[in-house]
Amino acid sequence: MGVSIDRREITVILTILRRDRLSIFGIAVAAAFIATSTAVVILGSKLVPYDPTQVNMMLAFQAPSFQHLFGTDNLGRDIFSRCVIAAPIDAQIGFSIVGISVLIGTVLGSFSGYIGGKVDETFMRITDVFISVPTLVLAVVVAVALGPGVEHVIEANLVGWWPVYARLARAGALSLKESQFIEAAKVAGISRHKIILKHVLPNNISPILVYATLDIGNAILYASVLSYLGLGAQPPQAEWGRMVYDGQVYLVNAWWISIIPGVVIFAVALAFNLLGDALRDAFDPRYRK
Amino acid sequence: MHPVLEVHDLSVVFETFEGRYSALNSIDVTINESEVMGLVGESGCGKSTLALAVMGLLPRPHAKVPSGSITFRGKNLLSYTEKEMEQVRGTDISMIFQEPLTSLDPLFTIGDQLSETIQIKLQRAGGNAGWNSGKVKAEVVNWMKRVGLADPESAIERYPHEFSGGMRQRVMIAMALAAEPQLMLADEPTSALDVTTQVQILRLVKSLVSQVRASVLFISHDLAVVAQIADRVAVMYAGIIVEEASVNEIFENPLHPYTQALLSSFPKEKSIKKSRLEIIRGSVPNLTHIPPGCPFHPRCQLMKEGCSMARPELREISPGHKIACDRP
Amino acid sequence: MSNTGLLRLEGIVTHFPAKGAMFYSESGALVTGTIIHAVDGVDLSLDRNTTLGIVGESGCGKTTLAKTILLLIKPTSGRLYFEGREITNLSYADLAKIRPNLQMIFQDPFSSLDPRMRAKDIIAEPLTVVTNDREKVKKRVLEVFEQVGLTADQLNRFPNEFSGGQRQRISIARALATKPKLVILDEPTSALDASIQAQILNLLLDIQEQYKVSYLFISHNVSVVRHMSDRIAVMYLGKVVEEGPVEDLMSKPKHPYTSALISSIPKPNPKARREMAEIRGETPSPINPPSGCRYHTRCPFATKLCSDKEPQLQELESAHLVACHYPLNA
Repeated sequence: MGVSIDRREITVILTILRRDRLSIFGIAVAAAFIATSTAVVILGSKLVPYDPTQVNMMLAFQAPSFQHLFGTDNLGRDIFSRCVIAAPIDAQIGFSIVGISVLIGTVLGSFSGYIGGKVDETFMRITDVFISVPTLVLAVVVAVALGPGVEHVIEANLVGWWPVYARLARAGALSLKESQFIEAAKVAGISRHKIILKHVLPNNISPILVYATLDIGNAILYASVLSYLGLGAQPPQAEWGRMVYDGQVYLVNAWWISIIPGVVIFAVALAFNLLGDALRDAFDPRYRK
Repeated sequence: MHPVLEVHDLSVVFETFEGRYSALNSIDVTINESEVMGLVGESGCGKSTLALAVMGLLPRPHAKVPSGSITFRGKNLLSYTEKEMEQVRGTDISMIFQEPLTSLDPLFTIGDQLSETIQIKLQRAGGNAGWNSGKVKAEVVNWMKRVGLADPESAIERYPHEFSGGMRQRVMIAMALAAEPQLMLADEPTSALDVTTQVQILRLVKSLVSQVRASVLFISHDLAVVAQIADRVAVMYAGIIVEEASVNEIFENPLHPYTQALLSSFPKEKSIKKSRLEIIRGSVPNLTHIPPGCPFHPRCQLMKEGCSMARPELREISPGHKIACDRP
Repeated sequence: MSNTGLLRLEGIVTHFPAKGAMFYSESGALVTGTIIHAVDGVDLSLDRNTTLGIVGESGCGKTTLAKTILLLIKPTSGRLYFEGREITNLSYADLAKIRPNLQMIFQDPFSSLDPRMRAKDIIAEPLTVVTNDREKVKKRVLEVFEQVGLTADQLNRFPNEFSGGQRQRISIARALATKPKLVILDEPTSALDASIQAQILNLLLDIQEQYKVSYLFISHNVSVVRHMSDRIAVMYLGKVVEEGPVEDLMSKPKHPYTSALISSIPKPNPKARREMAEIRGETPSPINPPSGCRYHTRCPFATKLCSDKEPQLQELESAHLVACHYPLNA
């Protein structure tokens, strides 16, 4: 653990990633997802072929075709356009949940692990409480309490998400604590908090980042579930999870309304999982030899 | 003298991310019956690679053998299938390593592990012996005694982690010699031990090996250790053998500049305290960029023009004494 | 013992709780106890511009001793004096003021440098405790970098771009940056090839000559310690069993363990095989050290007195001390 990143490392990692077809799929889809989300934020509905909110009962329930790649829904709205427009929401949710968790968790976990003693024990008990509750249940409860809305989905998930990173960071800090270069820093007279910031945190980051990449897929999945339950983005805003829910009743006659957004969710979550997996292999010294 | 192992023109190349590197470059070495051959060299010289090649344990697919043969009992080991090699390992050719913890299975008692080897030996010698047979157990206890473990009867019920480093090495030696192999490979077996334990282990290996009449390839980075146990010594550098001679010759009359430099860089008993040691300038080359011609030439005091052109052959300069140098 | 000495240890004891630690006796029986007696009463002193070598095998406590002297571990009891002043109970912050004078070079060149820091930052770090002047720091870093035989163009590189020997040079540069009075070296060349070891030892000698720095040189390799030291202390199971001027101690050792240790060193001379004495048995566990003289279980000369009464360190000849009831070569 604690492989340093420099030019040589990056080349090695890219070479490994290029080799595996699954990871190429992962990178491709993940990249497409991020690119699309960014594009939508910048360009808005100019990007998509049809106005995602335009209701037109004449066009309702059209199966996927050349004009409507993903078909139209019960209100005649183009599903492809709606999927694209909805991308940034899940991107925002996924990256926020993971990003903030990494930040909070890594800092708190590193400090706790390095300092040890009572501070660490107390901290462990706190994280224990959070980890023992299934994340989804926790998220649902908090979201219900907070009410609908995208920010609340993020907050609800954060509650259960950060302790995992705290634990990861703590484990890393525990093993780093014994390293000779940390001893060298102590011998040099560097203060404790400087040691944590300068030596522990930077060396702790890579395993965490790898896990985080994997995790973005999960975060998106969880967010979709919450939206499906009605706790996330509210209509008429397009959102994948919500679309799956809304299209459920038409499953028999117009399966594409519900299934296609579901496939999109699945593909994006899978992409990040594969990417994270490939990254983890890339960092594993045994795999590389 | 009858050769037990004949390595001829052996080359081994590794393909890695960092590039292609040549671990062994056309190696010739022969080990005779009941002979202890010391193989000495610094990190990266290829000594461990040679042992792995003999045992058929080179990491495929990264390792490739572009040329050469390893002849053992008249057959080329390189042409053996994995199944055939499994028959050979542990019984005809055995190996002991630097760190016994990694080669002893933590989940089985040492008695169990040793009995596996002994069972195979007894089966080969004719007759059938299951684990419960008193014969196998008696042999196991006997070997524990021979390697000097106190209280062998209870020792065999214990697990590897319950023993100290020195004792684990003894168990390893028992496992390696119980099947009475013709050849034992020892890769830095004493490097992780205290110097007082090392003396015990070296003595033990020497006496057991002559009792069992096995030959040994003893690999070490430490010339002084090799001096204690070897009959002949081969010195390696960056994938080639630079000198080979009897142990007395190597230490009294080293001819290759690398061997000479290596010997003189040791702090000596009679040297003036705090005097500067003779050094070999530079460092061992990165194996992806081995210097052309003689790999040692950039660091050699006697280097001349021709040294960077052609790689010198390993030639016999006097009976039993070979060196790979054009400028002795 | 002179009071003007650089470093003085009085009765230093460092014990660890033995939770989870497992040691096994010779027959393989599990030894349980509550305390690891890593360092069990050590008195030492070190003057300026000298080298004290500490030799011993695994379990003797030399690494724990080094960490205790640096106060990386707090001694269980005893006192530590640096430049005449007691430092045993100083706070982390007060200690930081002394650190520039008391540095360490570690054994493993691969884990003693932060893999994420550039060479120049690694060396600059101890200087940041002393001064905020960036120019001064930069100048000093370059100066000491070149002194250890590396070139300025390598300053920006990361540790994994250097070889083992080069990394040790960086370690040495880091230890010297603040011009310390005392450097503790814990097996500084054990992880290096023989040819590189010679280079590093020469470098250490050059530096000592130039800076007049004192070394506490710890190693299991007796020939290396002998080469580098003025005096040697031999440790066994947490105690110093013999201490004296290097030539005397090596040629006429007084303690049976020292004698056995010296004769166990393999010499690069095949004709000297028979001379290697063999100590019987293995080092006992530091959890349950033997009674009386700790070496008595393995000593060929042991009597009942040895198992009953622990011998104290006594000065037999000028500045040559030994803890034995029946010293050799007396």
